[in-house]
Amino acid sequence: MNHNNNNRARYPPGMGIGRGGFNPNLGQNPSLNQNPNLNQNHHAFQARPPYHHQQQQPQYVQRHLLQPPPPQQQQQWLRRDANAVDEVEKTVQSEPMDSSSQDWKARLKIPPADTRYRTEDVTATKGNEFEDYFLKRELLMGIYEKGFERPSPIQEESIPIALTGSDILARAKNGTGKTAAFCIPALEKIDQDNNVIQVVILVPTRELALQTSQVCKELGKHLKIQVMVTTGGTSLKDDIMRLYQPVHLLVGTPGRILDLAKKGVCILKDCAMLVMDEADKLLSPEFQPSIEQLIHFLPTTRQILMFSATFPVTVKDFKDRYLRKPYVINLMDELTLKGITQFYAFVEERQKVHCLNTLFSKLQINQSIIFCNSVNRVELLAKKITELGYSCFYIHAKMLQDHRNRVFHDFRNGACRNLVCTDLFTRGIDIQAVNVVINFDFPKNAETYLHRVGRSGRFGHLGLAVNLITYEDRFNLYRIEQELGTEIKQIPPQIDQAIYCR
Amino acid sequence: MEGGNNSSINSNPEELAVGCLLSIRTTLGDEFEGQVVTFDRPSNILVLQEPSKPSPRRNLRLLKANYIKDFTFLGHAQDPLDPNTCFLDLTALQQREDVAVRQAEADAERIGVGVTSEAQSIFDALSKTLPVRWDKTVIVVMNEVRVSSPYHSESVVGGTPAANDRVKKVLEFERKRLQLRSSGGQ
Repeated sequence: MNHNNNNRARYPPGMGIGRGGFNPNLGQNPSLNQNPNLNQNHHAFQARPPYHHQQQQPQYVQRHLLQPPPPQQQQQWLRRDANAVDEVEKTVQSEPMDSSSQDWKARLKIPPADTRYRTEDVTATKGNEFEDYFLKRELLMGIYEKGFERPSPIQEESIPIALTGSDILARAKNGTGKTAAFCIPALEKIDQDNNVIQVVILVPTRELALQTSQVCKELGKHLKIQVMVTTGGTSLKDDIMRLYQPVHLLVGTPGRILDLAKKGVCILKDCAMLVMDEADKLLSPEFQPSIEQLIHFLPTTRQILMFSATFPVTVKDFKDRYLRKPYVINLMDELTLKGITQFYAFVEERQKVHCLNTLFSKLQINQSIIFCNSVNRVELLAKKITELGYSCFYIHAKMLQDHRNRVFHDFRNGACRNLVCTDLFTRGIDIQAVNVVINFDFPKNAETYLHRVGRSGRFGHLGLAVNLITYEDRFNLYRIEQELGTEIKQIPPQIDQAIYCR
Repeated sequence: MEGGNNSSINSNPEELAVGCLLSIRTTLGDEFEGQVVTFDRPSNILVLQEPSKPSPRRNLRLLKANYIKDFTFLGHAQDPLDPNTCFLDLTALQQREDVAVRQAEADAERIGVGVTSEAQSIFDALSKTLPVRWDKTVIVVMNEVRVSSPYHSESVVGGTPAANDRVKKVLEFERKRLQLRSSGGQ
């Protein structure tokens, strides 16, 4: 059972120990920063002042102290304790940070740097810093204390655009910082003094909902933003009770949120931002009707951010119907089969090694990659190739990442002509010297075939692909041809070098 | 060893023949070895290929012959550009040129015409995080928010309220940063 009722007052243990680390920023009016007698129920950490979008003005301060404004449009069951401490806190504001006054950074509790190898999916950046987005200081603190050093490519592209209120359709792989790319602008835009649901994040699975809400809570730990998770499979009654407490950001699956909205306990008329993560899955037939109904509960001025690893027709159709002039971000190089001549050789399993030997002797190979479908077959084939008298490197999923990277790096630098491997690459082969790809084992689906044989758009080289097809592979061959809209011919006795050597 | 004047070079053309391996000392104090790729008489430039590990890449050095102080003949080897043994990927080279030209054109479009250097600095600052372009002397952000001279937040017009507010905010903060930088406070 997932209990969220006490999220508001709970902080990680030991958070309040550092005495000076979390004092509010001293304002110009010293009397406002005298340490008030804290209510016994207030954790010391909660003494930090809230953030206001409006700039502080003396008149506002005076009016506020004399006569607290009544809560605006609050749902009747949302009651906020209006005690003296809260009133004083509200008058001390934190401004978004520019590069001056860096004292707060020195007191951050930053985790050890992550020294794991990172691909260019997260390192090929423009050089932005999180401070370039002029975020609230409390949010910046959460970002740095979560271990984020600087924005990843998807974060660079989407955070500043999201902050302008533009709809976004973004294509990026998992593991590239996608979750923070929408959580950060969501947290930045929330007015924590407005006790209404302001952001809804839709995800297709319960596990992803829990994971996403955890990221929101960690990034927003210095903010007073209430995050709630709701998904199918948990108690509806508990969720209804939870919604009587303040909720600013709601993470969940479409069906449950729609159910709560229809019952009138989940009020979405002030929800300014809708995030759809893994939108291709969210727009499957299972979820799409719920999402379209859910959108009608939102105000017409809502902002929609869609993140997806693929752009099927359903995503495109939804974008055309519901997004207004979306800013489209595509960080996945399109793989293409242009320039690749593809052949198949019909062989029996036991003939494959002999066929490979023939290919080695007949083809003008600059460098080649030979794909197998399993770890065992990679090792067996690498051994066979060595016995045939050819040199080869091999890598597969069971090798240590460091070793794999070293072998691949050496291969890329021309230390060896042939590489035998399983499907380790997800962006196509970007080694210009590779002019031959051999599917020793034929792949199971079109996507794998495209990843093995296709080239990123940045490299327009000619290449040759030879597929060793057994009787069992023949239907796969036909289906992959159809799905990719390409042609794989029977291999001729002689192959013109001009089509793949230069 | 002969001196490095022009006449000595002209009097020994066979020592600058294609394929020769030379050890060269320049009048600037550099010393290196290389293989002659070609010698261009009109410009008096010697093109040398430096030794390198087995790799598709080569390092070339273009040296004005006037700067040769002295050199040593190390031997004679194959023409490094012999078409029978050397492969030049003309397609890849053409693509590199196309990419470089497109990049240069994009860079040129970012330079404002008829604007102050302060305006250009503001443009560059906004372009760090937002898509911007020049419309004559107006900075256009996300194709909908327009920032006119003198590029203060009061000069911001257009766009949705959220985009307009955001551009104003970023503009104010970036101007503060530029001021801090110019006053040596960074």
